[in-house]
Formats: sequence, C-alpha cells, structure tokens
Amino acid sequence: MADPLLGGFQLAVLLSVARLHPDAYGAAICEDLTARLTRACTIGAVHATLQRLEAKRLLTSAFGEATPVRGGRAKRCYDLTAEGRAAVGRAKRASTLLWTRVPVWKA
Amino acid sequence: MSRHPSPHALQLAALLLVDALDADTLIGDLEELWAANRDAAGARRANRWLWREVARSAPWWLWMRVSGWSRREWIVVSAEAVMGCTVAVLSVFGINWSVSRFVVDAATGGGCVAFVALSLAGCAATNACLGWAYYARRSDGPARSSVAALVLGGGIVGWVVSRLGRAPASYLFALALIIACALVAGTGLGLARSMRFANAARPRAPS
Repeated sequence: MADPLLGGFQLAVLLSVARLHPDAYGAAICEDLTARLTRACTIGAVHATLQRLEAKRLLTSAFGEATPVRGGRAKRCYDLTAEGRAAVGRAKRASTLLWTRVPVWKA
Repeated sequence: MSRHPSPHALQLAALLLVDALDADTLIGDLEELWAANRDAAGARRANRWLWREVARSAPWWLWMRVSGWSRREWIVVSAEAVMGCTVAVLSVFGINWSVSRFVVDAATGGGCVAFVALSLAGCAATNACLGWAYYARRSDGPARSSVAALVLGGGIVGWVVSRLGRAPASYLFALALIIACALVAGTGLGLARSMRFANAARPRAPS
C-alpha cells in the first residue's frame, strides 16, 4: 500500500488519539489539541479529520458509552490501526531526520 | 443555570449538515464541550461559544457530507442544480410571459391553472436546487413527501400569482415565493427525515 501523506493537523489528531486511548472521542480530542497547540481548535475540523483518517484506514472507530452530560448520546471512540501506528512511527522518524544537524537558535 | 444547554435550533443546524448518525455523536460532543464551558464561564458565555463553534464548524460539516459522494452523485446533483435553476428561471420569466401574452389573461381561470402548473415546475426545480438532493441521496422514500410539498407550494404560488396579475414585479415576487416555499418544504421534510433516522439509530444512556 502507498504511504499515506499526513498533514500537520492529521498527525496532531493521530497523536492525540494515541494519548487518549481508550477514551479518544471528538470532544476529548478537541480539548486535548486546544490545550497542547495553545490555539482554539474547532470541533468540526476535528470530526472532519477523524473521518478522513478513518477513510485512510489509519483509525478505527466504535460507539462508546452514552453519558448524561452528552444528552444521552453515544460517543464515537477512535483507536489507531496497525497502519496508523506505522504512519505515526514513519512521521516521527522523518521529523527526527529533518531536525538532525539543524543548528540550535537562541530564542 | 440551564441543565439542557443545546438550543433546539443548534441541533437542527447540525442535523442539516451531517449524516444522521454522525450528527448524533457530533451534537453529543458539542453538548459536552458546552457543559465544560458553562462550568468554567457561565451559561451565557457558553451559549455564545456554542453559536461561534457551529458557525466555524459549518464548512467542515458540509465537507463531511459531500466528501463521501461518488463521482456519479456529484454529476447527478450538479445536473439537478443546473437544470433546476434553468427551469425555474424559464418557467417564471419565459413561460409566464408567453402564457399571459398569447394564451389567456392571468386573472382568468385558465391562466390560474397554467400558473399552478408552471409553479409546480418551478417548485420542483428549486427543490432540486436548494439542497433537497442532500437528503434524497440516502432516503428511503422522499418521493411522496416531495409530491405533497410540490402540490402545496405550487398551489399557493399559483394562487398568489394569479391574484397579482401581470405586473413585472409580480414575477420577481413569484420567484421569491417559489424559492421560499421550496426552501421551507425541502428543509422541513429533510430535517424530519434526518431526525427520524437519528432517533432510530441513537444508542441511549441507561436511565
């Protein structure tokens, strides 16, 4: 299979899913990304990215529990597939390679 | 403090934009984030945040809707939109003009019937233009609802146009009325269908 290209936000979402597993669903991912990226993250963007990553077979989803705070609506919980874990590994290796021998600048 | 944060209009907006099953989980996420915002900043600020979030998310939801379409669906919907626009414009401006000039006076019974028939065509066309296709893609039976909407909308438009006579401004008004009827009927019926699907598919929390 061809190596799927990952955008910056897609990689951030994949890493967030990995961090939050087994409770990685839209609202939790949005809060996690907002806190870590220090900028407002739109829930629509998160959902669209999750859908795209699932279409690329990097994520798999299943309906989770329905809680009162969600108005009795079920969560859709996401998990990385083997291909998703491999894609994250490749992205990390590529990033590390790109950063090697880059001089450290003073802030 | 409100215990049920999501305004009903907001749920309808979400149902408008995504598939029924996705809409349900999406609304749940919005409601959960709303609750977190309410606890942190109060209900009023949380409500403002919610409306902003819906406005900013709308393009993404729309993209989620159409991204699953096959090439055939894109062609069908584009063709419907183009044909709908063409027929709507022709029926209101072109055929109405010829009817009023060559066949009968608009105020007579025959003119009224002609206007009803033409309005039906315009209403059908604008239905196709104004998002009906989004719902019809996955519907199990929109045809009956659409016929009812067309008869109702076309009847109203035909009656109003026949009352107004032949003044040029009346054609513009008729066009606006046709679009409004189609929009209301198409959106309302589509929403009703989406909500029926959502309610049927929604896993509920144990009470």
